[in-house]
Amino acid sequence: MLIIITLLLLFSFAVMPAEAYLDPGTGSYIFQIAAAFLLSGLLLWKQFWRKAINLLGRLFKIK
Amino acid sequence: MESSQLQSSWRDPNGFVFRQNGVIYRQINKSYAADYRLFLSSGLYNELTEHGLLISHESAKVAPVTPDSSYQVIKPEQIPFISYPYEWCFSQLKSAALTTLKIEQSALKHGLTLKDASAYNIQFFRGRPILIDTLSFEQYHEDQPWTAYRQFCQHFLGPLALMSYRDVRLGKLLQVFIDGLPLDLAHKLLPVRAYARLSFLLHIKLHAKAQEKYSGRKQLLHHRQKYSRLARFGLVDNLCSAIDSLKWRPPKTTWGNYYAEHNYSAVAMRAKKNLVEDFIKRVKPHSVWDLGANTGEFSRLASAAGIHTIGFDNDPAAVERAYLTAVADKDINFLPLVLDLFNPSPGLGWAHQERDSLIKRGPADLVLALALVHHLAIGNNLSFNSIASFLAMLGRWLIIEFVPKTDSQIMKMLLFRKDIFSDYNLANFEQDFRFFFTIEARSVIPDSGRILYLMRNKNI
Repeated sequence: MLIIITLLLLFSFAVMPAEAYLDPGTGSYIFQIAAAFLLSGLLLWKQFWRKAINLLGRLFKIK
Repeated sequence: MESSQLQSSWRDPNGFVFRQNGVIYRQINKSYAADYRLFLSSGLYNELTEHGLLISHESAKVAPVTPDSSYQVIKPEQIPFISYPYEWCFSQLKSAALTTLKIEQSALKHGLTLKDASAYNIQFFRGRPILIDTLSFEQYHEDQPWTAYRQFCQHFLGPLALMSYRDVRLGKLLQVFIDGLPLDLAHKLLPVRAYARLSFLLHIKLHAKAQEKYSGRKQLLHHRQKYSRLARFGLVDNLCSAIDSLKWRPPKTTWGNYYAEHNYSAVAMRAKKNLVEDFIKRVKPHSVWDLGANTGEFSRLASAAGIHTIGFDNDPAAVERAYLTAVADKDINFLPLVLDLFNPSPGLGWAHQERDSLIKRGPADLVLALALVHHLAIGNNLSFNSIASFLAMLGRWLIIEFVPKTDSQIMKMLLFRKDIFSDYNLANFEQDFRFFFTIEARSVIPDSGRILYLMRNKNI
């Protein structure tokens, strides 16, 4: 929780204007940047595990 | 030729939907030309239509409504019935959410992105959720966050989380909040256990807190921070996992288990099905609305014959079962929807015209009102006249079942209340319905004492 709040504050001012017909909402826009940064790490972790499990699976199949 | 612009598409300046001679067209404005060309040339259109994720279209040879701003007019494949998210059961909304995210993932791979993620842009067509707004795409800029993120959370994630963690009936909140459920409200209503999952803690609780913190502040653009492609994929992937994790198992409700627990004998049930099938063959309808459809036992008689059939029921469990059965059976003509007949979907949104009422979306060729009249008349004190007048607004033909007062169902309904229904008899039923309908056929359902009627509307 502490990490998430820190990240949120860290990226609080990292916003650029959106040229959209839909109002993305200031809070949503700012928050998304922090959340997505965190989730990109999670995605990398997920992809790593997927590859690792595939590799292990293949190794066991060979044996 | 008269063209009328539909009020459901006024928000986007890049184009709009209009109707001409009963056919739906979409005008694409010059302001969208570059994005539209990219959308076609990138291969995204072909990929999405091939996978049944986007409605296909052809170039139309009709005059644009506003020639000065028009780039092109297209004719999309026609959707037989427009339904709304507040009429969908849990699995329908979940399926629509996953379809939206799948489309966004494909779009990103082609260098485009969804500029909106409205649940109203998804419709159920041939049994599957499909995006109907061809103008929803724009060029993807890697340094830009997803404009539609808030809308996705409000239209899909918040309502689905509430339906799954709290109560499935909370899906009806989408009827009150036409631009999606406010996230602060979703947060207040969600149980704490939902936040054991990081996705809901992030996208609902902390998202709502951030909205509150920055509410009314628009002046904070100080320095630029790159928002990477990986971050966007991470966000969408996490939303996918969050939606995918949500489950709802329909409980055994009165209506969800109606046919399993009620006292139609096998003979009566078979005879009733045969009669309904015969009447349907006689009418040859293109569209059927089954009112009080339950799990769709009788709706499927029509859908199996290739007729586009909507089954309305107020019990989310019954509709959930009906939908899952239709999906499992690949029944592409049947669309079950949640609807309270005593309070049917009204005209909503700006000037009451953004979302159409049930009546405005009709009439159907044929309305089924099976085992329904006693619930309306005795369960809710409606007169035969009032029932007939409403049904006459919904369809050109009517198959209706009269349930006599001696029926065990009515006796159960009157067990703990005074019988104030002295007018409830066959003679009055026929007399009041004759005011709006012509009785074309009448058959007693063997082994039940009930009577099935085929009626033709006198006015439409």
